[in-house]
Amino acid sequence: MWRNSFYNELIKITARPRSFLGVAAITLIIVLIEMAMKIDGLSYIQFITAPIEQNLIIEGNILNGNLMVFIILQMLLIHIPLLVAFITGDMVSGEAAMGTLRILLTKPVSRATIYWSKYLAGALYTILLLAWIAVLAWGGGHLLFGTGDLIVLNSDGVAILQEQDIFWRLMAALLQATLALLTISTLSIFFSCFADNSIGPIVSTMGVVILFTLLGSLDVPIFTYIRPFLFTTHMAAWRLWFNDPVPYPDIILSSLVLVIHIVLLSTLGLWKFTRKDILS
Amino acid sequence: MEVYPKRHTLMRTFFYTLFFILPLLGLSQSPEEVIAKLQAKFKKVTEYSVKAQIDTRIPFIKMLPVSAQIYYKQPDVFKVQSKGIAIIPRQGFDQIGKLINNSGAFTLVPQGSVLLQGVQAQMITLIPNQDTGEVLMGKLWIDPVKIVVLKSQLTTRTNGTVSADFVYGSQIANALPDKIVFSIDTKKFKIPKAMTGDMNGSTPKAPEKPTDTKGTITILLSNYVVK
Repeated sequence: MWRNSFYNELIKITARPRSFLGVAAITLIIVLIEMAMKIDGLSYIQFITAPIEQNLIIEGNILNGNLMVFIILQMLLIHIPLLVAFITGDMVSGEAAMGTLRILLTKPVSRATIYWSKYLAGALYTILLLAWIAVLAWGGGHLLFGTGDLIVLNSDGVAILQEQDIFWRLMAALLQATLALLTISTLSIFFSCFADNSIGPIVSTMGVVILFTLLGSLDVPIFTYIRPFLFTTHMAAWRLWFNDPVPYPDIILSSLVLVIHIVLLSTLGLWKFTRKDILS
Repeated sequence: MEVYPKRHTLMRTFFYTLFFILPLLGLSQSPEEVIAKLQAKFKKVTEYSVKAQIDTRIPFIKMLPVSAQIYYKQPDVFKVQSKGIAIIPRQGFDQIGKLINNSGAFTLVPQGSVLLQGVQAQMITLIPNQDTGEVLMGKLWIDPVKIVVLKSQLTTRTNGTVSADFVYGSQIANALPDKIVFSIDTKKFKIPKAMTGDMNGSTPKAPEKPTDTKGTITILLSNYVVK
C-alpha cells in the first residue's frame, strides 16, 4: 500500500511546474558558469591564485573539469536549499491549502504511511536534484575543460589532489551534501506539517537557514558554544572530503549532527501530522 | 757549512710555491675569469630536455611529488610540461643562466672561498650597476676547477630571496645539475573565506600559531637530452 502512496506523491511532484523550475534554474546557472569560465576563467583563477604566484609558478592545467565540479558545488550548495524547500515545504501544507489533504486522509492508508510517502518522495526529489547538478557539472566541465589535478583553495592554504585521487572524494562529498540537503527537506516538511498555506514553510525554512548561517559565521564568543549544534555549520562538511588527509573524525561528527536533525525533525513532523486537525 | 742552509731554504720555498701558493692562485681566479668560463660552458648547451621529479614542501601547500618534462632552448625559452599541477619557484632554473649571460650589468665582488659539498667553492657577489633592475643582489658559490655553480642566492625586487643548491652527476661537463634544492621564503598565505567557500568550519579553529613560511622545492633531474 505504501508503494502506491509513494508513487502518488511522485506523480504530484512531477505534475507541479515548480519542480521543473528548480531543475531549469540549476541547468541555466551551471551552463552560464561553465560558459563564463570557458571565456574568462583563467583571469578568475589567476585572481584567486595571485597570493601563491608572488614567488611561485603554478604549471599545468588548473582550470579543468574537476575544478569546475568543485566550483559549481561550492556556488550552488548555498542556494539549493531554497529550491529544495520550494518543493518539500509545500508537500503537506500545499494540500492542506487546496483542501485535498482531507480527501487523501479518507483513504484506507494510515497517516504515518502517507507522511513517510511524502517524506520519501521529497527526499528522492532532493537526491535527483543533486545528482543532476553533479552530472551537469561533471559532464559539462570535462567536455569543456578536460581533466586534471584539483587545486582546492582553503582560507589558510592550498591542497593539490592528483587526478586519480578525485573521483572517490567527489562521490563521498556528494553523499555528504545529500545528507545536508535531506536535513533541509526534512526541516521544510516539518514546517509544512504545522502550516495550512504553501508559502509559510518555505519562508520559515529559509529563515532558519539564514539565521543559523549568520549565527555560525559571527565570531561572537557566546555563539561558539551553540555553533557545533547548528545544522548549517555542518552543511559545508562535503568540502572536508577534499582535505588531505581526510579529517574522518570531523566528517563523522558532521554526519552525526545532520542525521540527528533528520531523525528528530522527521519524528516531530510525523507526530504533528498524525495529530493534525484537518480544518480546510 | 753556510751553503747547505741556503739551498735548503730555496728548496723549501720552491715546494711551498708548488704545493700551496700555485693552487691558491688557481683557486683565486678573478671573478671575471670564473664567470667568463661559466658563460662559455653555458653557451655550449643550446638546447636540452630533461625529466623532472618535483617535490614541493611549502607549509601552506599540500601536494604529492609530480613528474614533469623540462625544455630549455637558448636564449630564453624555458618550459615545464606536466600532466598534473606542478609548483616551481618563480626564480627558477633559467635565472642563473640569465644572470651569468648578463654579468656585464653587475659588479663582481670576490668574497673568498667556502667549503661546500667537499669543494673549496669560490664565492662571488653580483651587485647590479643600476638600481632599477629586478635583481637586487646575487651570490654564487662556484667550483673553480669544474666550473659549475654549487649554490646560488638571488634577491629580487618582487620575489624576495631564493637560494638553490645544485648537485651534479653525469652532466657536470655541461654544467647541468642532477638535483636542485630551492629554499624559499614564502609570504603568509591568506585567502578571504568568501572566496574559498569554507564559511562555516565544522570544528572550532584553534588559536593561530606562528606560521613557518620557509619551504623547499626539490627537483630531481634525469634522462637529459642535450643538443
